[in-house]
Order: sequence, then C-alpha cells, then structure tokens
Amino acid sequence: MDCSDTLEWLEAAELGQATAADTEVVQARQHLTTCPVCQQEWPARKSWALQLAASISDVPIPSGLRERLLADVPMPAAVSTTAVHPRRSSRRWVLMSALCLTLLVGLLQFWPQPQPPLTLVELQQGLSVELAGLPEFRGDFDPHLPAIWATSFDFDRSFVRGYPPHGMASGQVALIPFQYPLAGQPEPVKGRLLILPRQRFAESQRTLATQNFRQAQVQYFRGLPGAFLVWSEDDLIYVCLMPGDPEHLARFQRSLAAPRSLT
Amino acid sequence: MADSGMSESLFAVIDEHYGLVYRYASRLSGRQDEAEDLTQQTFLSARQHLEQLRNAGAVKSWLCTIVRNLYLRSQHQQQRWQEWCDDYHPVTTPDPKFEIDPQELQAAIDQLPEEFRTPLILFYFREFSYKEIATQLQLPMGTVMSRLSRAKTQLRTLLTSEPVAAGEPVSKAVSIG
Repeated sequence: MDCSDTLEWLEAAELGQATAADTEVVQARQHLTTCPVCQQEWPARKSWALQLAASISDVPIPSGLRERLLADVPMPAAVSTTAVHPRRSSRRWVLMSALCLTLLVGLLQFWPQPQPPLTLVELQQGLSVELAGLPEFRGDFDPHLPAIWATSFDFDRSFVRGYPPHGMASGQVALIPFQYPLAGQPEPVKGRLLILPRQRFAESQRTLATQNFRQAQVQYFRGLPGAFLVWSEDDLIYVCLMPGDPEHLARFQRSLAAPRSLT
Repeated sequence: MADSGMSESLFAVIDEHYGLVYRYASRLSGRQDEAEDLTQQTFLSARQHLEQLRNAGAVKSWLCTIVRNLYLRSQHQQQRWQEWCDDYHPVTTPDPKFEIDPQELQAAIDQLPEEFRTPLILFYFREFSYKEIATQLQLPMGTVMSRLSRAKTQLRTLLTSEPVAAGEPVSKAVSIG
C-alpha cells in the first residue's frame, strides 16, 4: 500500500466509512507506523477531513420545511407491510428478477468503467509528476506527434508514458517528455506533450483548444507553475506543458511554427 | 429507519429523513430553492414507489438515489453548463488552522464534475460506508475510491487557492501570447 492509499484508508476509518477490522485499514495503520512521510502528513490530513466533514454536513434546514413537506406530500391511507412485502403471487417473478439482477451485477463488476473527462488543471499537473513514477503507456488509441512537431522531433515510442499514473487510468493520456534548444538559452527548454482522445477532455474546456498548433495561445493558471498550449488535430487533443517563464513556451512555439526553407 | 420499518409510514420516512434529503439536495444543487423542490419531489416520488422498497434498512440509500436521479434529470433538462474555475494552487493538505468558509465550500463543490461531487458529498456526510456509496452509485468500489481521491484533491486545491477577482472570465486561463 502506498502513501496515498494509506492516507485515504486512514481518513475513511477516521470518518467511519471503514472499520478497524478492514484489511486495508490494518495495512494502512501498519504503513503509518513505519513511514515518516505519512506520520508527518496524517495529523494535518485528519484535522482537515474532520473539519471538511463537519462543514459539508452543516447545511441549515429552512424553518418549516418539515411541515411544508408533510402538507404537500399526500399521505397514503396506510403504508403497511402489504406495501413493502412482495406479494405471494409474484414470488416467482421476484425470484427470476433477483437472479437476473445478480447476473447483471456480476457482469458489471467486470465491465470497464468509463473514467470522468480530464480537465486542463488535471493535465497541467502532468508537469510536476515524476517521470520515473509513470507507467509505460498502454492506451487504447495511437498517439502520434502533431504535424508540425514531426519535422523537428523523432518519435520514439519507448519515451511515451501513461498518465495519470493511477491504475486503469494510466492509459487515458499519453505523456511524452521533450527538450528543445532555444537560441540564447544556455540549456535546452524542457517540456511535456500530453495526447488524449477528444472525448476524454472535459467538454466545457474543448473550446479552449484551437484547430492547430500555430494558432494556440500560450496560457497559464494563476497559482500553478509553468504554461501550456492546447490544440486539437483530428480526434486528438494536444497539451504542451512547459515549466518556468511562459515566454519560453511562446518562443518554443514561434520557433517550431516558423516556416522552413526546403534547402 | 427502525427494524419495524417494513410497516413504517411515509410520514415516518419524511420525519426521519427529510434533513438528510434536504442537505444532500442542497449540496448537489448548490441552491436553497432548488434543494427544497428536489426534497419535495423526492418524497412525492417515494410515495409513488414505496411498494418497490423491499429492504427497510436501505431507505436512506433509496432516498438519496431518488434525489440524485431527480437532480441529474433537472440538470439535463436545464442543460446547464458545468464551468470550471481553474484558479489553482498546487495540491497540499492545508494547514490545520485553515478555516473553511461555508460559501467558498459550496462554490468549490459546485465546480466539481458531478461524477466527483456526488461521492464526495456522500463520503463527508458520514452516513454511508464506501461499500454503500458504491452500491448506491452502481459503481465498483475501486472506481468510487479513485473518484473520491480525485475529488478530495480538487476540493483541497480549490479551497486553498486565492480568491478570484470579480468580473474575470469564467475560464481563468490567461493569454499572454
């Protein structure tokens, strides 16, 4: 169990959503006794979780709501055991339904669940994630370089990593680290190119993606390091992330998008 | 609901659970008037379908499922646009002395996608176990945990980010190019 899971299970146990007898909670507590990172993080996390639970539950009930409900919802003459017990005559139907439901639930357990679309903020966090911690990309689409990039970069599949790094979601996005020499810079600028199918990108943010790399505008989030470009080609969304001064990314874009001589 | 819940009247169901139903509706919708409408519709729907309730112990989950279904239907009808406020700081656990402002909390919850918002609210209500949340949302427990983890991270980030100046566009991506 890693630190992230440990803190999740400790929080669940603290809030009563898991019990001390749960295997995961036992493992989390064992991890806590030996991990200085979690030992440092847990008190703040616990305090935060308790405060959040209290705050989220704290919704004032409008005065008179109960009375309004009782007045507005017509009461049945009597809601008795006959209303909640299956009727004898339909017992066979109920058994068949239960069997079908059980089979369906069993099938659904093995059915892959769609992941929620990713937002730019989640993608932007791909800038700070450790490359060594990312798995090999095993997604269900074919990542390829944007058209303009292909003239300046060689595409080596062994560099393509899966992002986000957790479990089944690691095939959602292809992450490719790159570097590029900029005139006047002592060191090449480094960045990360994220590629994902259009439908995995948050619908409300798709309008931010321009039609090609040249038209993309350098953007950044206040409070987050680095800057990004986002554009689409075919059915793929591309997000180019670069740490540091956004001007570096702007220069990188101008350099890559500049017309080239045939000679 | 008590053990004798099989014969419990709708009156008792309302009496016992209207608070939870309203709080859940309020956190989901972020609006007091909509929450009250949802609460009323929930109990009207519960009255119509009370005979479907086989397990009296599951009444809480059943009511919450109705609330969510009604909420999702109303969202679909209104075709509301889920906008993001993308004004973030890197994720860290906030200082324990950090105090949560109720209005900022609801604003932050409103910004979470529904897939994240619902399990998060159910989790912090402390009314349901992981397993019960998974059953209620008809998702595997691993999926619920993954969504919860992402929701908590985003909520922490939103709540500890700097306030956004009034009048700025909804998308806080700033063009400098």
